[in-house]
Formats: sequence, structure tokens, C-alpha cells
Amino acid sequence: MATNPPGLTGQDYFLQATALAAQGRGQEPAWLGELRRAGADAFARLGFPTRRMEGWRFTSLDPLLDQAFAPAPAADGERAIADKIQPYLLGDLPAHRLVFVNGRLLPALSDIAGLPAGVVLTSLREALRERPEEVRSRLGRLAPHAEHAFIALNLALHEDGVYLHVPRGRQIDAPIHLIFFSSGEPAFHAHIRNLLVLDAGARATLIESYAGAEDHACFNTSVAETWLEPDAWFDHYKLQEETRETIHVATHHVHQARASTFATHTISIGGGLIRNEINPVLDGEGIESTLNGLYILDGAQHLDNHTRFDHARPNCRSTQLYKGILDDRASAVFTGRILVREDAQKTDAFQQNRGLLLSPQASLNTQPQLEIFADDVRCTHGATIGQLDPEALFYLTTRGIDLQAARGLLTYAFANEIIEQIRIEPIHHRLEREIIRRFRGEEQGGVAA
Amino acid sequence: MALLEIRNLHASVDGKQILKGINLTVNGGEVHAIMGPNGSGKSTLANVLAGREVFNVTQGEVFYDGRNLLEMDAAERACAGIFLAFQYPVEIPGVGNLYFLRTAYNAIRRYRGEEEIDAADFLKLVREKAALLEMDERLLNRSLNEGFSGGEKKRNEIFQMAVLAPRLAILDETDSGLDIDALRIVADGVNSQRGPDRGVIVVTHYQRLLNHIVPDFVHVLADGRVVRSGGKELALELEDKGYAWVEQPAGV
Repeated sequence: MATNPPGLTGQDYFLQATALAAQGRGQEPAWLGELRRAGADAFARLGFPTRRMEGWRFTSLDPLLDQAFAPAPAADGERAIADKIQPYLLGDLPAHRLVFVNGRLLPALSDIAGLPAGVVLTSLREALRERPEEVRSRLGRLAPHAEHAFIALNLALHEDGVYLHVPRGRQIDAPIHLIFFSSGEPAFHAHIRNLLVLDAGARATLIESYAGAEDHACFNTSVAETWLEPDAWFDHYKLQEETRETIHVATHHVHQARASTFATHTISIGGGLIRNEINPVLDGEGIESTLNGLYILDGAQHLDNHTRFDHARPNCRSTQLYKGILDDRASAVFTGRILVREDAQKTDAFQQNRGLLLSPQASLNTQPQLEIFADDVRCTHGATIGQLDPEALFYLTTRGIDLQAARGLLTYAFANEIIEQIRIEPIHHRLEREIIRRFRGEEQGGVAA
Repeated sequence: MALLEIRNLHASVDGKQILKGINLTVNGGEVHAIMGPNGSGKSTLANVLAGREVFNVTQGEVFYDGRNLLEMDAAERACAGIFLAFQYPVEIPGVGNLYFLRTAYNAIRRYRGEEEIDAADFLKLVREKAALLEMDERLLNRSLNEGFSGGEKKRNEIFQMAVLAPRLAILDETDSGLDIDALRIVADGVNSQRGPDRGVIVVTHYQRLLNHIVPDFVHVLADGRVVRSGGKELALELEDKGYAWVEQPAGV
């Protein structure tokens, strides 16, 4: 990749980088070059969002605009990376695993043996070589680059990502675990593009882990497009454990066909400045769609969760439950849009955002946005922000549990409503350890009632 | 040495004086009933002894087993053997009843320098105490007090007491919300905990619990002071004559 002039920060740098990308890359198909050019043009037209724009009022992109970034450096040696990713392997979780470092697949650390016949799990680059027409029919069809600067940027600059295709009726028993790891200097940017397709009746579980080793700046975007055909079943997890110097902007676009089931669990522990957007379109009857989120933030971490449900057809159910624990000066935003179109009668939509503020400097902004054009629907939403219940703390201490442990116990109990819906046991352990570490509580094993 | 010695205890909340000079001594083996009209300070006394910090002790001393109780926080008091059965037990969703109780049990063991109990032994202990209190075992696996009826919550308090085996149990209006059968079961649970080195303080508005947990001493509180003390017959006299009888200072 061509290097960029040094010294440019923020917008100017990315204008140059996308303009370079628009010239296309030798080995890529011409249609992809056109997509990159469309992304670059859109980014040049849109520019990064500002706080004056609806949807960005509570999130400042200054950390992104104020520093210089370079293209992602090559990964360290395999052995060094193998050690660094060890903590993020979720113990001995048996999984089909792909490891990406700085946006590029590291085949030596990946292991996808034993997939059911017909399942394709590979890097997007590989898929572009092996099955370009399959990719072409889907790539960029769900993520609207013309109206979203980060999607445009990602379309122009994406390096690699995952291509998953589960054929009709196939079930993958073990979870697919994708590890996106950042490592190296100086401050760099990397862009991941995932394309996930589950044909009719297919079933899969997929975990995305985002992590980094050294405490230096990096800027990642991730754009995922997920197609769930009729009766497909997809359980999705996103575990964010990046360094505090990381800026992470992700959008996930999900197209659900009739009677498909989708659940995603966004677990945010690490990262400095995070924006997660999830946009399911419920485009058939009898769909179930669940967005769960748990965030545990402290220091100066900022997290912006943005969801948009598009109920396009009748008789679908959507559920959103987001819970956050904020300490120190941490801040979070939850914006939940629910669009119920005229045709979407008998929609059942539930949205709840609950925050636990452990410090007077921590803050949480929550904005439900309901747009309902059908007349026979049930939409409920609620938001609560509070502290640990002093009555409950006193009760626990009168039984001999010291105040720190009592806080840990109540904090875990608050998070447990989300944790108990996670089907991957090692993620429970990971979250238990994190809550113990941050709140110095008791060993939490078996808290679940 | 007395198990509990309260000397001239004064306590206030939000600047309002509630306790105005309580004196009370509880020795091992004794059951003391504290009675009195609403607002006399009974529950405040129970909560001050358990270490609730919203109450501000403005004067006086409390010694527990020879130690200065007022210098200990709530958790340390519990570890040292004080147990408060709450008038209104708190519902704590997401914290399993049994997990909570084992955490408490082991915290107390650690405080005493003892090894933590293993899960199987703990389950045995819990089953035994649950049977004693005729507790529905399904309640043990639920979140702490969440969705329990008033009576189930009170029974759960005494169940916890039976498992943690405190030296000084303070029951704050444990009889309210219990029907007559539950009252007898709860009272049997308390009586099973009586012993030569253990004390019980029963805070109650009514005499009926004292038919089942027979006190050695009865004290009547009015306006933050003990206005009358006597044997178990004092409770019967109160039932007969009403609190108006004692609300005037003795001898008037």
C-alpha cells in the first residue's frame, strides 16, 4: 500500500487515504475498485460527523481528528502474536477460529478444520479470489455507504475480514470465533469487512473478539453485513477488549427473512472511544430479533451504542436490553430507534436501557426513538439510571459480607440479567473475572439464581 | 461478662433524636423482649445495634462480648455473631439465595480463622435448617427474597439465622405478616437457637409472639427510653392495659 504524506491528521489524512484507495488495487476485480471509489466519493462528500449532527450529539470524534494515523503495520512474528492473543481465546473453548492481526488474516494461528460439508468460512480476500460472484452479489448491499461516513471509509479502505456461508439446513455446532487483534506502532488504522450469509434453516454461533496488546493509539472500523434467510438461526457475540487508546467504530447490518432468529450480545469492556451500530431489518413475518448489550466502563472510556430496528413486516418481535456499569468519568450513550412501518401490524417491540452509575462523574445519555406507522402494535420502552441500592448493601453487610464484596455482588447481580442469556460459558467466566477485578468482589461462581 | 451492655445510648436520624438514653444488659442464655408503641424507637435500637449508618449515635456506649460495638462496621458485627432479622427484608434480584448465604457463612468462617465450608457440607447444613423451618426448597434456589410473600421473607430471615448461628439474634417485628402456623414454626426455629452463651432480643409490638418465644425479661420503650422493665408477665399486663398505661413516666 502506498504511504501517505506524514503529518496530516484526521479528516485530511483520510481524504487522501480514501482517494488513493479509489485508484483500485491490482489484484482485485474491477467491480470492487468501483465500490472503493464509491466509498471514497461518499466519504469526501460526507466528511466525519460532528456533534451538531443528530445521532452524534453526545459523542465527540476529537480523539480521531486530533492525531495522526498511519496504515496498519505488518504483524509481529506468529509466536509473539500467539502469546498476545492467548488471553482472548476464551479458555479452551472448542471453536472454529480465525485470527486477524491489524485487519489481515494470520492463517498460522487460525484453525477451521472440521466444519460441516458445504460451509465456507474464509477470509474475504480469499473469497474474492475463489468465489467473486457470490461476494459481489452481497457485498455493500446492506450497509448504506452513501449516507454514513464510516461505512464509506470502510468500503474504500477495508483490507480483509470474514466471509461465512452456511448452506441450507446446515448447522455448525461449535461456535465460530473471530479474533481481531491490534498490535504495533505508530498509531495506525485498520478496517474490517465481514460478510455473513446463513441460507434457509441454517444455524450458527459466532463470536467476534476485538483486542489489542500495547497501549498505543489505533483506529478500527468494522462493517458487517449479515443475511439470514428464512428460518435461519444466528447467535452472535461481540466482545470488546481493546486498549484504552483504541477508537472503534462498527456498524452491523442484518437482513432477516421470514421466521429467522437473530440474537446479538455486545459486551464492551475495553476500548477508549467506541461506537457500535446495529441495524436489523425485519423483512418477513414471524421473525425474532434480540439485541443485548452489557458495558462495564471506567476511567475516561466513552461508548456510544446506536440501534435501529426496522420492522417492515407483520408479526415480528424485537427485544433490546442494554445494561451499563459506569465508574470514574466514563460516559455512555444509548440511542434506540424502532421504526414500525405501515405494513408491520402485530409488531411486538421491547426496549430497555439500564445504567448503574458508581461515580458522580460518570454519565449516561439514553434516547429511545420510536416511529410507529402501524396501528395495531405493542411497543414498550424504558430507561433507568441509578446507583447501588443502599438498603441492599446494608442487608448484605448485616450477614457478614464486607462492603467491597457486597458492592461486587450487587454489581454482578445487575449484569447477570444479560450474562445469563449468554450461551457461551467461558464468556460468563470472563465477565465474572472482570467484575471481580474492577470491583474487588467475592468469587462469583454460581451467582445465578 | 455480659453478652451485650448498652449504656445511656442516644441516637438521631436527620437531626431528630430517636433514642434518648437506653440502658440494657443481655447475658448469655437470656431472651429479652422490647415492646412499645409505634415510634418509640424499638426498630431504631435494633438497627443501631446491627450497624445501620443512617442512625447517628450521639452519646453512650455499647459493649458486645466486652468489645466496643460502635467501632465495628455492620459486616464485622455480623462476623462477630450479631444477627438482625429485618422487619422488611430486602429483595435482591440476581443474587441467588443459597449463593448469598454461603458467601456470608464463609465470610464469618474466615473472620474466625476457620476454613471455608465445601459445597456438599454446606448443602447438608442448609437442608437440615430448611427442614426445621419447613422452607420450600424451591425458595433456596431463587433470587434472594425476590417475589417471596411477606411470610416467606420472614421465614427466610429465621432460616438464615439458623444457618449462621449467631450469638446475639435481634428479631425486628418478625411476627408481622405471619399467620399462626408460620408464627409457631418461626418461633420453634428461634427457640432451637437458644443456648447458655447465646442471647435473643425480640422487638415486637404485640404479645402473641411471646407466647411462643417466652422471654426472661420484657422492656417497654416509650419516646426513646426504657420506661418499664419486668418479667414475662409485663407483656401480658401490656396486652391487657394497652400502651397508654406506660407512656406516662413510671410512678405518675
